[in-house]
Amino acid sequence: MPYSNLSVFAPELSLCGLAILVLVADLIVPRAWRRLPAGLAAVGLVVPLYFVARLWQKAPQSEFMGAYAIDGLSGAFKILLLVTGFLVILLSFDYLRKLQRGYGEYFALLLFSLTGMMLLTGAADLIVIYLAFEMISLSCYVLTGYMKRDPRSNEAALKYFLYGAAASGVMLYGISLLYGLGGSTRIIDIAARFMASGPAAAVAVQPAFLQSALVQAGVPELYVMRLAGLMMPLAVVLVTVGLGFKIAMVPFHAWAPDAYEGAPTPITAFLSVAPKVAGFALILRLLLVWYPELMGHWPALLASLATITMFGGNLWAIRQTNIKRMLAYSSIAHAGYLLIGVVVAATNSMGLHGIIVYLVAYLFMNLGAFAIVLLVARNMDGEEISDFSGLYHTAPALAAVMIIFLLSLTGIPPTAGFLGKLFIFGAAIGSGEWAWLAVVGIINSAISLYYYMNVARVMYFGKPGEQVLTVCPAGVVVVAVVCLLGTLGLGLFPGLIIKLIQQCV
Amino acid sequence: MANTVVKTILDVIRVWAENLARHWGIPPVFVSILAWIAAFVFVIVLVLLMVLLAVYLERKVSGYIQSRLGPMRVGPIGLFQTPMDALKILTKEDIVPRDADKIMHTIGPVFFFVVAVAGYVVIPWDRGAIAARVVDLNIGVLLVMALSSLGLLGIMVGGWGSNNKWSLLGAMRAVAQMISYEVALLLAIVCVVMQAGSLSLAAITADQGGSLLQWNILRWWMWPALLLYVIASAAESKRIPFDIPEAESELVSGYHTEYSGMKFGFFFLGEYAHLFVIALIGTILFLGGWQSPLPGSIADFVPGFIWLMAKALAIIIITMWVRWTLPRLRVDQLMQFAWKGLVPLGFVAILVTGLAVALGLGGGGI
Amino acid sequence: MALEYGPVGLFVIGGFVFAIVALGIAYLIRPADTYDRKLITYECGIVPLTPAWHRFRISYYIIALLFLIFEVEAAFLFPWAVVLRDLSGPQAWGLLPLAEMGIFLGILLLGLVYAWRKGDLQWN
Repeated sequence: MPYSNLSVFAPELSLCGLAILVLVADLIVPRAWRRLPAGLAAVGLVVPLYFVARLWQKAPQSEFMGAYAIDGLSGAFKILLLVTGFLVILLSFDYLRKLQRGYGEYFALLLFSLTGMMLLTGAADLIVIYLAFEMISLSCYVLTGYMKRDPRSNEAALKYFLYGAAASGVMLYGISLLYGLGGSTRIIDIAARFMASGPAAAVAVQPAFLQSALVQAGVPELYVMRLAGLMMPLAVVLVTVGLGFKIAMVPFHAWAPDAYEGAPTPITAFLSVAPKVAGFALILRLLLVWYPELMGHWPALLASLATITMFGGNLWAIRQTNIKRMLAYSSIAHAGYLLIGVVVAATNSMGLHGIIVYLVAYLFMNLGAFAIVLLVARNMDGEEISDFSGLYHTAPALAAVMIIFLLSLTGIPPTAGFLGKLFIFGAAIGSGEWAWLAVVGIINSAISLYYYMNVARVMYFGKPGEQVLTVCPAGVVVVAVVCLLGTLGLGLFPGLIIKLIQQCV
Repeated sequence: MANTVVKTILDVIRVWAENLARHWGIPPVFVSILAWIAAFVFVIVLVLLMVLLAVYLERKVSGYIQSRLGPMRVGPIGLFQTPMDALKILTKEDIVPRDADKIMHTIGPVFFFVVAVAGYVVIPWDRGAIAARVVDLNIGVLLVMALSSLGLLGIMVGGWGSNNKWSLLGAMRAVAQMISYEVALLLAIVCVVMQAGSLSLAAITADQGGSLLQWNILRWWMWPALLLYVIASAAESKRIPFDIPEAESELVSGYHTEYSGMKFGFFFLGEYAHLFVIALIGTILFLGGWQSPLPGSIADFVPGFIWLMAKALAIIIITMWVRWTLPRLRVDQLMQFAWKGLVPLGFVAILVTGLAVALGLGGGGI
Repeated sequence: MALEYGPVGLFVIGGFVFAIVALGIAYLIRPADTYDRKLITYECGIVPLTPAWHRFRISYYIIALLFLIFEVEAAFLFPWAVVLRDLSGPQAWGLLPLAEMGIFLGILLLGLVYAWRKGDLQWN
């Protein structure tokens, strides 16, 4: 019996084992063969993928006394994460060619971060959530500052770290409040405690530590209940801050542009996709378990956050001249679109489907865009939008592919981005109550068209530079092709993915 | 049995005090507090006496090793030399450098001394009723280790507060050395805990009951842990060959360069109190604590307390012998020895002891 | 329960009381004959050039980090060590408890080897 539990962790354990293996391989292989551990990291991802696929077929279950859950949703997110990890590893090979020290550690850290994200998708216990959170963050801080000699990279890592530490702290306050009010760290138990109507009533049924301590201290019970009623939203808000940091929601996004700009480009790509996937997995789990007992007003809060996130991301993106910074703001805006799906998901399963479709699309189009940025930066030695000038003349194919990714990011058919937006806005309209969010989303898509197409304009009508494209690292090209196929395939043949998603959720 | 004499006396006193309390209507908690105060007084007197004795011994031992006589003038065979020195320290002027952080400068040595003495609270002095250990804390070893590593804070505060380069460097070295060797020390202690199945020092003593052959020092699977403990504890007490923090040829006198008078006295007292507590813990972990080597024989007529003291003193004399025989290590050798030598050895020790315990050696099993 | 730790608290308080009394007695009987030169920080006999509160080399920091890792490891080891005997043996889990801790320690040992090979244990 004690062994059966552990099989639930097979993907995470194998991934963690792979990371350790990469680390050890890096220690023992000679310098000339340093690509070996990196290749091992990429190929080895098959093992956790296999385990995820196997667990996916099983019925939903939760193990370790409800601390860890396996279901279709977490399986889908895990596959997304593994695919992201694989593509980012491919992107990294060429970028790291000049790295003097710590070649293998880079990949090990990436895998550790991925392990934390996979944990987060299945976490159903506040402590597991926090641990996974820290596992992701700590690896990401280091990865952001990986270019030790580059002051921008250092600055990025420091800012990311300071914001992240503060966000973790705030979230930990929220978690401890939830524990004090709910009397348990398992999110199911906390929900059960509040199953009656509203926090105050539930507290009266069975007071948790905090309440009983207050009552014992002589505070009248009425006030204690009111206090609990006040503290519950506070706890939820504090946890939201932590999550908002991870997915770069607008009031908590300030780290994102600097971190994205300074980080090594493959890591920027990673940061713009993977933490979002994991963060949204967690938000959905909390929402599905806790709605509406604990989080009756959460959708309203998220709806307002979604609005400012979309507007903030898109409006700031317009002014950027650095392509990585622009994509950073654009990824903030995409978090806003995804939040619409979350808001709707509380009452409408369409929202849930929408989030997954959108995340799949976002994965392909965003990683694809970063692959092109990498290719251009490799040859032009710069990451400004002006470096794309006249790309059409020097590398027409590249420009065309970039256009497709940009169109998809805007949400124009027949691309994957369109499908994602269709699902999410459709769900919002279908829910009735949140239809206005769809309108906001469409307005924002129109705004985003401006800055995405600005890049296209520069590429097609700008003056071509001196340099021509000479170096095409295989890994990056592969990623670009895969992402192109994904973006177009999803847009042209939506039936496949939709069927798959309906199966798993 | 003389082993139970101490217990009987303490029990009688306790029962008498409880009856008296009941008679006067005093809650029993006050009796407990009184007992704790008595225990504290006992410990502090014991520590002071032991420090006097240890300093005297140190001088004598070093004298004999260097073919000298050591102190001979004050009192018969120099016996009053150390009490006189204690008085001298008490009457020395207290010089606080102008640039020092005056509060830190004072707190450092006091804190160092206080945590060194507090460690004595869990020592089982004798069977059953134990003078200082009024209750048997089930985290005994951990508490001693926690308190003894807190002493570092005192060193650091004192060294930093002096605002003197030698002091700060000495304090940094002391901290680096002691945290390195503490890892090894803890790994050694884990082995003993595995063998005894408890963190309580009384239970660890009881596990070595029976005879000399049951002592951990004579259980072969404890030998790696023993080796680890001997080396690491020598380093923890900052004695040659591990006295880098106060190496006088490099650092004047390390973290207490700027101390004089009674504040220096507290560093001094704390140092020896720490040495003594480490010897006591070593006795309990490996030498069977207060138990006589051959229970049931004539050795039983010596009280357990005397056995404990005798064993601890033997350990102290051996460390002095080592101190005056070996040269000092270099700081890099010292640090690398801890991490590259002792920590891997600690893993081996855990493996060996773990296998022995899991396979049911040394009694136990269910 | 809290009372169990009473002696610990009393020993700490007692230690401070002893220290204050001893310092007080010393204050009463010691001479106080200070002058400026006496209060200068000692630096081999010269007037100190700079305050001593300097930056320190990174090795100390690395040692502190390593210490933290292994100290936390020890914190995990102790509860395990206490129950190992009861959990092992043919009637219980056999060698499994040892093997489980072996995995944990193995990963930690890898960490040590890693730090070793990267030269972080070098002190020069």
